[in-house]
Amino acid sequence: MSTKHKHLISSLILSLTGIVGAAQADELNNLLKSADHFRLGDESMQVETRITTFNRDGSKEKERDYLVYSRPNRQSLVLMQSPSEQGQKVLMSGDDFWMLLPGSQRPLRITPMQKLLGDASIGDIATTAWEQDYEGKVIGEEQCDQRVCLHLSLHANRKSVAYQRIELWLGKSLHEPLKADLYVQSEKLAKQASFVMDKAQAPTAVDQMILLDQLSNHKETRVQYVNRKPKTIPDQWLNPMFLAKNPNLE
Amino acid sequence: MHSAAQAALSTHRVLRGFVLIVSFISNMALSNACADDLQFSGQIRHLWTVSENNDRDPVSNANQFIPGLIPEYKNDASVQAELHASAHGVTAIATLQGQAFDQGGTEATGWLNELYTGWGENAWQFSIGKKIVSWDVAYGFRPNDMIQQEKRQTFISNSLIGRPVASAEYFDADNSLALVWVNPVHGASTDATVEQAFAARAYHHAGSLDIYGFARYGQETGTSLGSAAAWVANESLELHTSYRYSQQVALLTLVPPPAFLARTAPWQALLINHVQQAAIGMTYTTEEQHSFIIEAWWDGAAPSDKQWQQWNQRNVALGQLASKNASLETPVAYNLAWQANLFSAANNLRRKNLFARWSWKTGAWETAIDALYTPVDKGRTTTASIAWQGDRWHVDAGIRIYGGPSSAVFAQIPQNKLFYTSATWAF
Repeated sequence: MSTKHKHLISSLILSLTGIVGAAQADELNNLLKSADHFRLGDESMQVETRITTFNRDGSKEKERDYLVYSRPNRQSLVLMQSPSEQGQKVLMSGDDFWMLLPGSQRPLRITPMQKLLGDASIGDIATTAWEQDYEGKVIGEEQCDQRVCLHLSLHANRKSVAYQRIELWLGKSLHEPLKADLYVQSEKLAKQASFVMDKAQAPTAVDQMILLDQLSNHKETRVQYVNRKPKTIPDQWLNPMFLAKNPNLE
Repeated sequence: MHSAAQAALSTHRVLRGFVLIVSFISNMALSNACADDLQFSGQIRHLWTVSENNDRDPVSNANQFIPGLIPEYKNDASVQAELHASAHGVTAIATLQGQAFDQGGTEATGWLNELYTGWGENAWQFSIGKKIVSWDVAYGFRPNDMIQQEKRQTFISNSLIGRPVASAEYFDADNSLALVWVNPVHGASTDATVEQAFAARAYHHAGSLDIYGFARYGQETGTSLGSAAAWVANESLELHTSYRYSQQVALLTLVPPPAFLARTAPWQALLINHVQQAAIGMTYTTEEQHSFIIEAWWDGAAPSDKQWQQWNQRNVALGQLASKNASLETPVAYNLAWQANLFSAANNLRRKNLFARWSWKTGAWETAIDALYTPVDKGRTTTASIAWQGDRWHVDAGIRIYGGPSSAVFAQIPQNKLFYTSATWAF
């Protein structure tokens, strides 16, 4: 075979690899987009979230309420609403995070690691889009509780997300999220998540996310999406100084 | 006026204050019971502190000569009710407090933390009233906290008491500008907490960096300019720095009395020129939820090394004078008591300070240890605390120990150990 032909074949193989790779990336993005739609709804939303933590013996340890405003481009604002946390806020704008404490009027710039503090981290509450934050591949079809599901292996494309690696299982036909293993930076399994849908036969949205801590206390945390509605917050709400000036936003 | 009559009048005023605050908040709550925008919340806190009093500080020495000249309590218990309400653009925070000391002493008082009205939509906003306005970065000391001048390193974080302000603020997504007229109706004073002043803060968000610029013009103290930055270096590390230059700052200074024993407090607030304050620090948080803060700061508005030397020398000289001449014990006692004024002269006791804090949060529990060290006199204060957070209850307990060589300022403050417990119920 002449050198010319060898080059031609190499180019063809490379092109085919590229096309296959692009097609796989497109397939992954479509799967994540569908899964995100079940979790997040529209791009700009107001979500009332209730988090309940259970002790290892099944008794309820605590319950917290949050109001979460989300916008495209990884922007979200979490308002703590339970009496013990009333007035606290966490603002996330891309990779930048701030915490506001009641009465102090001084926003605190916090690191992604500080955002992780707590049974359900702020990253769990202000759910960001998997499609934007993760890349990876489809491992293949598997059995999930007597049904066929798709196994996806995802790694974060930026360091500020709560979990650096996610092993995710989606329903085969609708691509609704079923369960996930969530790994932190050090590759330790931090939490195992399972998703409860609103309607078992024809799901439209995630109703609850159940998190089992695997890193420290092995407690169960339920993240319940009590109410979702479309809402677009103004640009100023994403300025930490504006939030300090306006403690009562709702 | 007779002291009993004064006490009765004072109690009457406190009660009247109580009634005013309670009726204001109640009216707000009742008249807006049906209003959609009414927000009402609060907390009730019980705090109990037990102190071990120092026996080598000027206050104890003064009390040796005139027992009870400056009361030193070993037990202090208080109950605070903090009420928050907001409706129709008016926001109020009020606190009512009942306090009991050793030997059955009690005191009731109340104060308004905030009462202000605000208007304006998203870009421009305006406020008038008594308002908490906290600025600057850093944990242990904030040079550019130009309006609030919050006292740091307290045991329990209470709502601050706001300042009278009129303010205009501009916001977009990444920038803000605040223009504040503080203490607008106050007369001339060199005390920065009550001095009439204009202050401004500009803020810019540039990705992982927050940048601030500050300016203040005080009626008596003149101009001060400052800047600060907070930078998130990676997912675990945040670095911050703050610097302020002030044309003039009031500082308690010893004005030598004509005779060695003064008839009135010889420590007077005098203006000092060209004052610099700076802080630098970092926070580091691990995956296992351990957090570390390390900071160093210079506070040019605190008493100088020379002033503390003079202070130490005067303490010794006053003690020697009383031991040589018993008839002078009474004036010596008053002069020793005035020496304690320097403890509250500034936000920091010494100019050079190093601070470190470790905290660990696991579930509902948080434990912390922090230490403040003053390298010039090797003084130190160490605090260990534990906190538990429930749905509505928050419980804190801790101990603080002051120490250092006998000439260190921290070793000469009126208490050398403090133990505290606190329980807070939020509603």
